[in-house]
Amino acid sequence: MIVFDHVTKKFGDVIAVNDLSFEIRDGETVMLLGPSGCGKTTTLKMINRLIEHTSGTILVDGKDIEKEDPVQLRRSMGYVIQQAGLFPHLTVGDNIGTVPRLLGWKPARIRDRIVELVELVDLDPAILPRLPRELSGGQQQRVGVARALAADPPVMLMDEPFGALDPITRQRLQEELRRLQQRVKKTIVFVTHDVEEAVTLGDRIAVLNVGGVLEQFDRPARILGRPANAFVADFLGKDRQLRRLSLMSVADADLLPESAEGLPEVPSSSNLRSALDEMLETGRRRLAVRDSDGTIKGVLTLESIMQMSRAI
Amino acid sequence: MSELAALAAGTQPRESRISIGRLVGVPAVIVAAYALVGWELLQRPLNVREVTVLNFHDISRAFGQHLLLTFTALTIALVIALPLGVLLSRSAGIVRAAVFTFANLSQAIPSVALLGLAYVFLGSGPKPAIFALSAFSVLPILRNTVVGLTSIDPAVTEAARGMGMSPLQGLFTVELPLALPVIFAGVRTAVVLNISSATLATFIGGGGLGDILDAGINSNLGRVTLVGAVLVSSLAMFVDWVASLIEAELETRT
Repeated sequence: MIVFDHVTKKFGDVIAVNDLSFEIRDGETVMLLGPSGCGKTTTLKMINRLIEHTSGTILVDGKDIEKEDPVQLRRSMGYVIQQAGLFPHLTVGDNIGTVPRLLGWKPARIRDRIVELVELVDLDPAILPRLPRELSGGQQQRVGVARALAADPPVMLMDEPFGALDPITRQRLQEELRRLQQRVKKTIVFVTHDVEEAVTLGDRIAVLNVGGVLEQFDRPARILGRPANAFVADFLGKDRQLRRLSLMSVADADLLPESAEGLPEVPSSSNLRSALDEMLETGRRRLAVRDSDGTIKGVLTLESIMQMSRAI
Repeated sequence: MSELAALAAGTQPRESRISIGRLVGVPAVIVAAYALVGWELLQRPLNVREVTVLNFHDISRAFGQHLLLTFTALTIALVIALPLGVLLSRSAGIVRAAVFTFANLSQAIPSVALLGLAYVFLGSGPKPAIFALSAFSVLPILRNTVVGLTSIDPAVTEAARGMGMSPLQGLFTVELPLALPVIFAGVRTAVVLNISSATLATFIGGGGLGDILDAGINSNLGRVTLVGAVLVSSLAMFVDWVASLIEAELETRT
């Protein structure tokens, strides 16, 4: 667990993070979301002491990080940055093995771990002897994630890791990170300015305002449905109800046990946003919901979608 | 893999940047120069005055002294410039600017003048010569060390810190290896500068190939002067050539 207790950071007279208090639970993914100048990266870097906070307390697993050795502290946390920040003179394999080497693992154990990680992040082991510049941006970022995971740290700090990638690669890496997270169950603190990314990846989202003010900290569905104030509503954009629908599964809606004869179909695994899109596409207010085993589960109506969107 | 296929696959062909011309051009020039000297010496036998300089013993001694002057000075310069460069790369811009202003200014002193000063304060012999040569070769190494270290992508140095490298681990495993091609380019400049400046050591009794040139000029012995000139020039060219190959190899690696 990571606890911020009245944490403030000043650069000279400028307040970057203002009296921040919140808790990040073990195994959850928390997104730090906000415009530039909101102190989200500063907040992240205070966790591994790349930036020292001015006042307040940060606890990691109950221990005050100010009393820890910063070098040891950083080795216990994975760190992924934009553009990957790979060491250009080291091979992909040596990049991934960086932290295990620092921790003094035996070479054989490091080799085994590198092979394991390359598979985990879905890279071809043939790239291990290559240099980072020979890889595509997406591949470099996968290597960056593998490097951060190398020593199996409980905490992963990710600073806009997918920010410089093209939209398609970014989306694919986001999906992979989600799948990866289901397997490795890390505590992830993830900085982004992209609402879509925050909503897709986050268990909870901390919305920060310029000057490092925490405006709202909650689950994506609640933040989208009940923005705490005008800033949050504005930052999330005009389509937040649609985004919210994308977080809800068709299977969770109230389905009517009516005849589905002749209705357009949606799979029960899809989300309400896709279902609404299907209604707009076909001009029908009713859709047949088909389960993965092929049976029709019932009928989804426009009314039940609207009902869901109002429920919090 | 063809170059095109490599590019299409998103990879860069990692071939050496050393061209054939670079590989054989310089040695060819050196061999031609020696051939010219040999031909010139074969025209007629050496006279008594020429033999007092142009004999194996004296030439090899002068050559040895020249190398000793050059590389001792280089070693001293490295010992001073590398740590100082690391410190400067971490210090405030104003400190760096002050040091470089002073260093650039001192670089404007002609090498003969610096040798003269060394002679006034340290007397004659190889020691004052080595002192002057070291002082001269500090700047190129210092400057390139600072430039090499400060031009590293900040994302890379931050990653090193974020991974949990101590400042020294980051310096030795990430920063210095990445700065090495630039630092080495400074070393190359310094060593070539040293070889030519060491020729002047003869004026304060420091020895070296300057002895041969000086003897040739003073006694009006054209062939002695020729041998001295070709020896020192070819040495400078050869060392520069070797250094250029190392530099090209370092650049392809990082």
